[in-house]
Amino acid sequence: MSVESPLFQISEPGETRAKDACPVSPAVGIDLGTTNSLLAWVQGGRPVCLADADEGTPMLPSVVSYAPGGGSLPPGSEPGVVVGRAAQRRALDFPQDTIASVKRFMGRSADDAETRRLGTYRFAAESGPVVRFGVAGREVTPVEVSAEILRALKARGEKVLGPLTRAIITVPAYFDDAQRQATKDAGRLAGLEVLRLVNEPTAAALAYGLDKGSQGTFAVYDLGGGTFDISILKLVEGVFEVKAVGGDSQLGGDDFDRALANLALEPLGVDPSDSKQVRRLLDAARAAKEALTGSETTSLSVNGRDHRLTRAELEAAIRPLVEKTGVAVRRALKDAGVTPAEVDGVILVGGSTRVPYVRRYVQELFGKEPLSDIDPDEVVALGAAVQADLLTNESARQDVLLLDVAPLSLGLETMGGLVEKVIARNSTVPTSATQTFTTYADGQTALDVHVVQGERELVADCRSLARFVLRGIPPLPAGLARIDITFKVDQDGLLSVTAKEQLTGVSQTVQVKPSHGLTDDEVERMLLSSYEHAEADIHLRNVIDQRVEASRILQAAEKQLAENGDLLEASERDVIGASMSALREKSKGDDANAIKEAIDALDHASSEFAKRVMERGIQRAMGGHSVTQIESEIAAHHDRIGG
Amino acid sequence: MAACVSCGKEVGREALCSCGSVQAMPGGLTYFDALGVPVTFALEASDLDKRFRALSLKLHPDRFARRDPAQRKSALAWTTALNDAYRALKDPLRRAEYFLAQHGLRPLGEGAKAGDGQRLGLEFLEEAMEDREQLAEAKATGAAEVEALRQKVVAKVEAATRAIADGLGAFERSGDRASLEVAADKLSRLRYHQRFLEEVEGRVHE
Repeated sequence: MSVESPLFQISEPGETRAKDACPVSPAVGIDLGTTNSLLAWVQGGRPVCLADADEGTPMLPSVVSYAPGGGSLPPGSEPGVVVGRAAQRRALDFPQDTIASVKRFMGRSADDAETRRLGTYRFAAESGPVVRFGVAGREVTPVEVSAEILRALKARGEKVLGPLTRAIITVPAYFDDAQRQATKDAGRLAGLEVLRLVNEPTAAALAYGLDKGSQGTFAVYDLGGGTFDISILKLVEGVFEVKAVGGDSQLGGDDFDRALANLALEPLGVDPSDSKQVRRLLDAARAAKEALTGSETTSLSVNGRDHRLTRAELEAAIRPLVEKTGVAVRRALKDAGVTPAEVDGVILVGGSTRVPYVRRYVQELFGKEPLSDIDPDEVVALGAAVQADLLTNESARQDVLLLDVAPLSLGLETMGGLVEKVIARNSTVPTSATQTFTTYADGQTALDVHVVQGERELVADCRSLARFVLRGIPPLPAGLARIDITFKVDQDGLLSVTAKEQLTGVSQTVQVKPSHGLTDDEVERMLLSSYEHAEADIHLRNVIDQRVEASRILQAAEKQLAENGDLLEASERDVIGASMSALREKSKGDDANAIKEAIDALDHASSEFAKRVMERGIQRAMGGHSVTQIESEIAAHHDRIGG
Repeated sequence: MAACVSCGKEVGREALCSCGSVQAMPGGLTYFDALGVPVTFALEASDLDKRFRALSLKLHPDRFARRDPAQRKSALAWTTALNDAYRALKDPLRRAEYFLAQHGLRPLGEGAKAGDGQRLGLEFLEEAMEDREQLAEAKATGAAEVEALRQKVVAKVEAATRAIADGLGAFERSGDRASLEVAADKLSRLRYHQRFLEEVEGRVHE
């Protein structure tokens, strides 16, 4: 499943306690980024990033290069593995053995679209549940590649802090269950106990909030190498409440590089099928993009040929990409019930927010200059360090707390293939909700429970999470059985569903946890399409609602005519019959209003009949008939009038 | 009355013992209990926010990350109840709905379906059909007419909102169940008006 937000994951029982007993090195915060990764910890009450002694920067390029029999850099890693800048340097000569932006492959299957994008990798399998890279004569998964990055960071940290065992790792807010699980696995593989995964934007806000002691509503605009996240948070009296999250899991600085590379592909005569040349072109595009932050023109050089680029050209190339972020921002603001003017501060996160055009765009979007006092590359790691300290340090302040949300709605399939939402997107987790359903047919003894996730109105457009059947419902007239279906989402974002029939207490529970969470593609597709199709969906929903209603009323009317038809004159019977035929006819069409009018007309035509049926029921009661008989009469009457 | 799960001190129905241990959540807790606020419709939004934050800070599973599984499980149960209670009570209409449900009344909920309107009786059904006719006419005439109709529906929503608060207030003062039923009826109508408003505003296709 993927309701997400293992924001509040907790450590295994015993582990942390045992370690608390003796003084140990601090729990650290790790930003495992698409482009760069960083490690930070809290020192003297303040978070600091660990800079590498040799390179002087806290940023470790998230690049891993594999070589047959080469030297091993991070202790514990496989022989022949280098990470960081050294790996970056190898990328030019060994593009297929060097994995960059591995984060984009976390929790993905080999069939995902990501594998087909402009890139240089050799995949070990054409299809399957997990991506496998073929590097230097062997196969590695994204989890293993990420673990190498974590090992390298850990090794750096240990030089300064002594043995490191516990960490908080940040993930994009939109990471689904499979991606989060993969990230945790990478931590474990690197010898780290992952205390918690924290959403990157939330971590950023934590870094700012504590630093500035601020209160108010914050937007965190996080445009990294590979993902875009927007979060709206409220900070009041130490509690960071995430109000809404949104984003685009396939949008980032790498796409800017690709857009620039595409501009220069032809002029420079680069062969798109030559992975070495493509790698060089992408690197040159990134360098050009960075150069254009400070100057108006630059040149992009590959194969000894130059291509001049202006900042205006860069901006034209990335404009459609940047504007995609605006869609997600507006939606998140609406979900949070906040106008741009009510946002007190906009926090910039991610190296891509250094691009001047992005800053201008954000400033226009919110009507205020974004905050950038904390380095946008470091802010996430700093926030993660703060959270690590809050969780592990007995003397850490107890007046700060993060409250996160479920980013996608959870619901059930109902009649006509429609989705009934049970837990709305952006509900604070942990949470629970119960909805009562009833039977559709007389004597129905089983109920098919189908759990889905997504924002669309139709089941077919949402992600199916689980399906089970509740049996043993006592046979009752349609609409009388009462079945409570309860959803519970815990702080790890894991869902369990219980169905219980009220009369008999028959119940059944399932733990929803499919082996693969939503892929980024699916999340993105579902969110974008819910936008595009909202109106069409609602139209269709109205039609289906009315059809279901019509069929229910027709069934009830038929039943009443069969049982109590003797109460009607032939002419009255004809009028009701005509209304029924008219309704049947309209139900076949797509006009919700026409169906509704036909329902109302049938209702009107049969109101006198309904009265007589009621009277007969009451007379029977007076005449000593059984209570159940009357109840079922009344129920039938309710059925007919749509109660 | 109950004894603390760790130190045995008397804790009643409190979530936390003075020793810092979170208690197992008792059954039958209402949303009002979970937030520790009086059972009344007249709750201040700012008070609810304060209670929610203060209790979250104390009861969130984060606070029990270093404690045993039973403590973390209890913290999870309390925090779930707290989140659910806050969501249900901070919105005045949902709060009214919950308050009514506590007194055995179930008005139409959010997103009431077209057919549900029939529960409100024939008279209301006629009004609803009239509304729809007016909307069709207004749409045929022009934007100004649609806007006039929109304002009319907004006024109905506002009037119903006030009537609900009045009805619940009257019930709480006098215990008069009739005013409770009036409030329930108004709430059902209001949900219907809200739905119609969406149609007028063109958020729903016809």
